[in-house]
Amino acid sequence: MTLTAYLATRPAPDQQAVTARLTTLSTASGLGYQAVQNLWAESRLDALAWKDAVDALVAAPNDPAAIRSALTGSLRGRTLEGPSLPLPWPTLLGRAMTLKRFCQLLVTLGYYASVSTARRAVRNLVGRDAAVTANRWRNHELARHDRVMWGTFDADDPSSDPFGQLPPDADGIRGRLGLDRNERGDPLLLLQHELPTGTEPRFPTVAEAYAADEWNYFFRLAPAGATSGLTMPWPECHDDPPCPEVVHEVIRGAQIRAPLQERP
Amino acid sequence: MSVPQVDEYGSLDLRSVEELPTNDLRAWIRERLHGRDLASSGDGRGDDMPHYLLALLYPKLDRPVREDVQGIVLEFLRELASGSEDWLGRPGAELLMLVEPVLGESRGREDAVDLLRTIADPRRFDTNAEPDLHFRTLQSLIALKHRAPREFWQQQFREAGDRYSPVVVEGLALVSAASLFNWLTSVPWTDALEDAVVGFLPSLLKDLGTPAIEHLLAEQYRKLSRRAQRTLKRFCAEEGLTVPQPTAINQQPHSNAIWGAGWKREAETIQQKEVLKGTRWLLLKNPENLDDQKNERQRLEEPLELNKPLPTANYMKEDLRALWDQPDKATATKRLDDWVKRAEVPGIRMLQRFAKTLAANRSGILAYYDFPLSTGPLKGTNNKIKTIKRQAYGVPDHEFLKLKIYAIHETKYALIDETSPNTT
Repeated sequence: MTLTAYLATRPAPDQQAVTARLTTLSTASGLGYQAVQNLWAESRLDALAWKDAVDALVAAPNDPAAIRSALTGSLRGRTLEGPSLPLPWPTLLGRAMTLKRFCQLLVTLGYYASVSTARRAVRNLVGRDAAVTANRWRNHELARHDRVMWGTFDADDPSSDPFGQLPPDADGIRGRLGLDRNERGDPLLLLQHELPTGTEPRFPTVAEAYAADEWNYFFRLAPAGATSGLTMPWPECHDDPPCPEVVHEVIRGAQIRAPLQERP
Repeated sequence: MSVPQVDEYGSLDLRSVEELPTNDLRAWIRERLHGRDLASSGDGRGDDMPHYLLALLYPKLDRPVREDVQGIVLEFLRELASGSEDWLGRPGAELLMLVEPVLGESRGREDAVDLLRTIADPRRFDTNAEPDLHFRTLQSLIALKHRAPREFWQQQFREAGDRYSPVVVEGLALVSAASLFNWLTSVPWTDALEDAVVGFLPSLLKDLGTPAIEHLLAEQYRKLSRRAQRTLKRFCAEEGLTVPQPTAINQQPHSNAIWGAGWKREAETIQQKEVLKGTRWLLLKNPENLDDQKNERQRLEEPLELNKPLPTANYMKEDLRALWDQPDKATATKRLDDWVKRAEVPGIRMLQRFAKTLAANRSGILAYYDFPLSTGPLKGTNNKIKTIKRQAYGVPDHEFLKLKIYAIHETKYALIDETSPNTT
């Protein structure tokens, strides 16, 4: 269901309030504009999810910060509700993260006392047998436990290296996956994992894209009929095809299936 | 208030950050740490670390601006230390995560340590809160390489439990690596502690080098629990370190039962019952299982000093345990034969008798190297069956007894779980 279709079921004042709030958000920044475009285009969420979002928007003051906060708060409860994506077994999912960010994350999650220790531990594992990494991180969640994880894969051969078709350098990969441009120039860490039994990959929706406090410009919805979500490459990678992507529950390091790679 | 410029994609213009007046820079950092910076993009993948963009940009800023940022972070820390409610919860956690990248190498490091020590007062923050500002403060102290006393870290562990393992492990290592390894012999080896130790060892290895780590491991290895030994053995193998000699007699074909009976008889023959009273059972414990809190190590030393045969036998017992960790059957055979020969020399009757028993069962013992199976699970199961048999009440017939035996695996007690300190 789309937001437009859901709004048609609401009273006129609610429709006007939502339109006004989203206009305010879209004129506040480029990020806001992109988010609002995606909200109007989203069709993979049901009426209940839109009800939460509309209720939150109607209740929010007409201020960009408050609108964004209201949206984030309502969408956070509706993640992983997009259609499920049956992937063949085995499918290797890839997650690319700036090394610094990943180390900060491990410290934030409380697995390491300091970023320098985390960096040494991660670098110690780069290139090592996947079983070593999977064993050492078997209890480590690879993202905040109350959030989701994003992964890309090779659509032609899902069991192969998901980064195999991507450029070899960090910014080349970032560009194709549409990662944060502020991180340009920093080394990238590549993780490959399988999903545990019972964990379903799903189509990414605006719920996952805007459920975090920080928003990324580079998210767009896969067109109708697409077999998975699709990344939004940076403008300079405009000629390159987007990569398939899915979202799923947070998994542990025990699911790592290939050596960690660091790309400069 | 002016704010840094971002392009349409949310990328921050570094120059515009450098051009901000200090007051505006302060306001922007405060807004960002409170999650209210709307214009700059983030990863958007759900990790939500507002401090991260600042940590990422900081090294790229001009030096005068970096000094401004250091001053601002210190100022915010002072506010947190003075109890300002503005920094409670997530913003405080984000601020503390900025301490390492901004103040780690700065002149304000000492001031930051003083403030963090104030904030680290356990009465200040609830250690069960989310986010746990107390834990974040300890992380920051470690990131600044602050050497707090050993007792400080041990107290953190006692009060907050093993979820504080990463900070306690690294905090103790800052005191000295020996402190860390000593401490590891005295605490239960849990999953969280294991993760913390294995996570930290690569860093320690880089700082101290292979020989130092091998030496420390060799010194403390026998005092560690069997589970800890297994973990460290695996780590050593993965990192190419010399694997320390493990202890393993309990899980091997000839258990302490044989040894224990002989030991008791020997103790009686040397007529030192008074000395041994209440300590005899300590002789049967593996050294790593001695409880320092009950003073067991010291209590064991007394009978060993008073009775010459005892330290000899004790040494031989420890020596025999190494039999189970030989690289191959040939080496183990050589070691066993050598042990049997040496056991005949001291003139201790129990040792001689035990050596004979070993010699008689030589092939069975050495078969462990063909099939490294432990008889522990078998003995554990037998024990369970015996216990059921003795609890005759409620067992009306043989068929029911059989059913009870078949249902053993569904009992709430672990049959054999050597990794659990609660094994029954």
